[in-house]
Amino acid sequence: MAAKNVNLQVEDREYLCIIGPSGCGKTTLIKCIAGIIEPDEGEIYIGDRLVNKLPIEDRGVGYVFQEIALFPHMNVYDNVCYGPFVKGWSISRVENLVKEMLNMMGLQDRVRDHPDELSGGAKQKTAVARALVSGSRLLLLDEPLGALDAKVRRVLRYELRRLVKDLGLTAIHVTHDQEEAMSIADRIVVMRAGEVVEVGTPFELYMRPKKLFTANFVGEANFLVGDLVGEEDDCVKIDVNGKILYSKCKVNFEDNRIVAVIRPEFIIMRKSTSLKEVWKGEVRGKVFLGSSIRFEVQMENGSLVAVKRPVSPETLRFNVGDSVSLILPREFLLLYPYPKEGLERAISIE
Amino acid sequence: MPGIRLVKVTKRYGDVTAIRNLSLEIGDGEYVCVLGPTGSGKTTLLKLIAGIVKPDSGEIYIDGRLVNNVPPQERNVAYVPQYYALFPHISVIDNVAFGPLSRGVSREEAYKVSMQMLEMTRLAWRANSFPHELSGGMQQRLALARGLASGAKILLLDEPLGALDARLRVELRYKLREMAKENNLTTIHVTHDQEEAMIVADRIIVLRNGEIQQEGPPSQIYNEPKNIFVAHFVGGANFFEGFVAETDQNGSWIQLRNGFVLRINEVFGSVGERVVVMVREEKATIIRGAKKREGINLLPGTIEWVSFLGDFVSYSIILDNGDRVNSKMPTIIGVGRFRVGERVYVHLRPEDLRIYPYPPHGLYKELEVI
Amino acid sequence: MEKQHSIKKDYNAMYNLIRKLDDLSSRNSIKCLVYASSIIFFLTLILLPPILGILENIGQVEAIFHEPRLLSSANAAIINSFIMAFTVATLDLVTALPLAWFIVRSRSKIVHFIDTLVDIPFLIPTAALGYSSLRFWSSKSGLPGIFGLETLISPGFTLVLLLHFAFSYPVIVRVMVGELLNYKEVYEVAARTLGASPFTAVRTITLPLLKPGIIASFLLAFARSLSETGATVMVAGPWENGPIFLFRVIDRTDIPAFLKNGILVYVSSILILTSTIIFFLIGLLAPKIKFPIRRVFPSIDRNLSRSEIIRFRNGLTLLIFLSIVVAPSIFIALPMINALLDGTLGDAVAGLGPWGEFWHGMLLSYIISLLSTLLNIIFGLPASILIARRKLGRATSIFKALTSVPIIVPSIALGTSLKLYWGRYPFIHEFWVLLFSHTTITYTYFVESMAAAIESIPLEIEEVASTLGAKPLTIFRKITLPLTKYSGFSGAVLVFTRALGETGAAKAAARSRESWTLPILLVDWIVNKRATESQSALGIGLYIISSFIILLVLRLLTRRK
Repeated sequence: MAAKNVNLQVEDREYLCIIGPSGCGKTTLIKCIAGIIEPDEGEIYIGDRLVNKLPIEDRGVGYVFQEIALFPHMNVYDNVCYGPFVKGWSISRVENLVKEMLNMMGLQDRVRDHPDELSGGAKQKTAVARALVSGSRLLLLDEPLGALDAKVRRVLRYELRRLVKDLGLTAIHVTHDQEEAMSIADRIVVMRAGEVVEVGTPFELYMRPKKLFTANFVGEANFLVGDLVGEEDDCVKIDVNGKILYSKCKVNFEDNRIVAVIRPEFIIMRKSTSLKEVWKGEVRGKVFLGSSIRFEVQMENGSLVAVKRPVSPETLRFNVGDSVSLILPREFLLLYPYPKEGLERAISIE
Repeated sequence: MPGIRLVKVTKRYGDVTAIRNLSLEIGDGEYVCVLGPTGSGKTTLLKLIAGIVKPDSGEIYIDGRLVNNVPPQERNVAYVPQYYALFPHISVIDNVAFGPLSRGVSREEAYKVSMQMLEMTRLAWRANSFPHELSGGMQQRLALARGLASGAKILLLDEPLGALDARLRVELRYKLREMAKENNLTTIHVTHDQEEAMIVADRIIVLRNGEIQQEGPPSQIYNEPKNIFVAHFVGGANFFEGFVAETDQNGSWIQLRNGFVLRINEVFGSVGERVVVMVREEKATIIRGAKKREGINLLPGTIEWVSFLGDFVSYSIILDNGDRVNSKMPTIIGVGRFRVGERVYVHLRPEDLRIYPYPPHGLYKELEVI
Repeated sequence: MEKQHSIKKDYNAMYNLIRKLDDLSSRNSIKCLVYASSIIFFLTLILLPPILGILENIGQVEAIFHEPRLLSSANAAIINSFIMAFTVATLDLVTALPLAWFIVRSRSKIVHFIDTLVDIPFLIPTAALGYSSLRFWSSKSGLPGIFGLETLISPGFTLVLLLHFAFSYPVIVRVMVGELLNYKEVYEVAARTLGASPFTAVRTITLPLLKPGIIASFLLAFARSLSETGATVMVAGPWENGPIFLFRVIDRTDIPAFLKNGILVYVSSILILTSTIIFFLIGLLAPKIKFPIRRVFPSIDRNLSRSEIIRFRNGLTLLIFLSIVVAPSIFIALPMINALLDGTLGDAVAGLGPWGEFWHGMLLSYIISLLSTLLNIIFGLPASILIARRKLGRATSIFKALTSVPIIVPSIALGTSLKLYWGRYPFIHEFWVLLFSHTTITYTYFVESMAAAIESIPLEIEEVASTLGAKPLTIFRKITLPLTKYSGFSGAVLVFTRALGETGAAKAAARSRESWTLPILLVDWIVNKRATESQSALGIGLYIISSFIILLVLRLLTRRK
């Protein structure tokens, strides 16, 4: 089953990203919206119209394919003209629309080129121009940046968003790259094995993920398995392999077994400190990431955690083998019930 | 003795020069990343070392031996192409045993070694499956096991993580380096993803149009990029166009668009010379202040856009002189701190600024990635 | 114990031999030798003999210019060849393309059945197809009988048209099915998301992108019509094209030898020259022809996309297919079954009467076909590697074009030129001329299919194998061959059945009756009425069965592996 009982509402003029591992059903979903695939059950509404029985050509959505699919036997100009052309619009109207679109995308110098003469980024822009020139209000994008270099991806994604917002369109953008989604989406839908796991703004999914899978899929996270042992002040007490942690998170779980999650950049690392709630550990790995450094620290109770700190004279001084003290701030420690299928399977991406 | 050495190597395909007069040295046991955009010649470089293509000029040495005329069969390097090129018609273990068997090892010995390789790459339980039945990550491990089964000590990886999901890429990149180090391999890992290169490499070689732009450890490439291309390709950078207004023995004053002025700690060029100033995104700090502030390198502007990137927040500011600046700060510090439309000052410390001559074809062309 | 030991020793010895060959293969000199010998084989045995055969005897052409009536019939025959070929190819293209579309795109349950039916005319030797058509359309025992007529379409232009249409039809279907399967449907879907109705999308996007396949299949159908001899002779009646004209001239006893030779050289050389020129012209110019995609008719196109129209189109296509292609082809089964039951079989097995030379012909045909296949595999394999991996650099395209010449040229013309060439050497028996003719006309089939198969293996796989330590021959044995074995077998089967079915070249090469291959004998039986209807039917039937057997055996072999 490619998609199971999916309920989704996309707002007008929203930039929505659907993310998830390969095979999670995200492409199937937008193909159903476009009419390329027929759903076995359920209804699809575009605007107020029920579109289930409407053929592809009448749905009026712009679609950008993963394979880009520019027509190889036509040049850029003819490719972009195609939509208005098959609708039988007058030549002058078509010309004006196409010229405007090409100028907006910066493709005016490439009109005579054929697809195989274009760079990856130019191909992508042409595909977007082609999809939008007829005036569709809804844009569906299937891994639009997948075939491009990392650097080109990072530049083009902002251009995509700017274009969609400038034109006042609604966009549904499917990708497996959560960084891409985070940087441009108004809201993100997380999918896995055909089902929607969670929906939220980038901030919500990153800072307060409701599911363990989201915590692992969106950004990096440390997972610590432990047991609820009580309450103190208005925090919850957790025992992780003999060491006590505190969390401001409110819990109401059936079982005592829990998973505590904290993102690497929220862990504070010091050489030594007199603070009470400190975990002692030893630096096992250090990787320079440009503007930050990622450390791997083995804690005294056996857990291995990742810690990310911005580059600074203090953080640069830590080296492999150093003893350090870690502070896991209560407000950033999130709690979840221990999953029935085991932690590994609950968060695995493959 | 260095593991791999190229001396003035050139390779042409028709009118296109893929590798141009390139010399480099890779030490025994080093993990080197060759970083560059598509078409920069990275794959050709690997093929030259593997022996699949021959150079038009120059010499290639492996372990001190001149190998120009040595066919690939006899170079004993483990070459893993971009989409793995697994043999589809034979099983996983037969794929791995192919190398040893081709080299004349007895069947018994070959399969013994192959099982060891599969255990090392955690594929032993799929020994009798076929490549198309494996997931992306498993296929990659199979390609590695196959390459290393003959005991090669040199590993050539062409975009090894390119075919995988973003999330998987992040997980597996650490494992790649770990495996190479555990087995004392000399590794050349080719990629277009600078984040990946920064994480796994002992040393990075930045390649563009067949020529080396810069080589060095990740921190050096990041903090001391030699030219605009490297600065732009590796990490997020802000660029300002301007010209040298004044110089003294401690530094220079650079005049930007519309009268803005920056102080840098470098004595660069002559008065009137056109230049480009670069500052990393995380070094551009934002200060609130409605009153006019005193101090050097305080540029007034308005917040145009905020982008939440997970562990970082990126503010896009349009300065009063028309230039744009991106400022990156950790989420804890930056999230919700400034609003779109707010008037702020961007502060750039002179020691964080780098200066370059203005590129002959214009800044836009030089920064063009598309 | 000793026996096991000796078996192991043999195994080891063979293993060592293979290793030695593997090692040799990495030596440049050996590689050059293998490729060079393949190119030399092609030039000295395939390409040059026909050309030289004609050129050396071109002087004899003079004789025909003194016979104006003969000259004008020859010219008329030549022109008829091209008119027929062009008409047949065009009609076939227009009617076979919808069937290919149906096979690939339809979700109907009968698709698989239709797909199998398409192969039938391929598997039946053309001479058998000719006889079957003859009985179906023009004899009382066939279709005419149902309407109470003596004959419906008697031998002549129309019957030839129907015959050629029938046997070129499957060629187009097969090629277009292959093209459609390779075609990336995403282009059509993209067009539809842009607002194009299915018909518009196909017209403006899919068809232009299928142009190479359309041109290729047109040329193949054209070539087949131009070249086919045996069946055409049976159904031509008074009508004549080039091959028929040559066929009849060869049998004529009323003209002096020098005139005969003159006519043969004249007609053959014009046929060879014109067909080569036309092929290269079409091949070069047709890609430049653009489909009419400048105008759209949205409302008409929408209507044409309606399911009723599609059903009508499919129905019509299937009707044409079944009634004009399938029915005449399999009709022969009926008279054959009759012949089995009326005692003719007994005579046949005993070798009585004409059956003696029947079995002799069958044996000869089989031997020639087997040897041709073997020669083509041995010498064609290196050539296909040369083409697929472009080992000759820029010259590869030229070499590739040259290797396609043998199928462009009408086979009887080819056979004539070879007879003239090898005829110079009196010590070369007709058997060898026969063998060389069959090898020449089937060479291209094997080389082209193997080259395509090898090209489809990504180069990276072979590159990786070499970095793993495998020598060129090892890579070929363990990687290339296993991955192309299906195409290899198909190619070999194609060569064998083509050789078995060849009439024209065999007729030109074999002047004496003992050198007659089976199809020539059968044509003689039927056209010159040297056998009864029953005997002819059984003879054709046995001929078909013998062709099928090989196919079945080979299909079984490939399936097991």
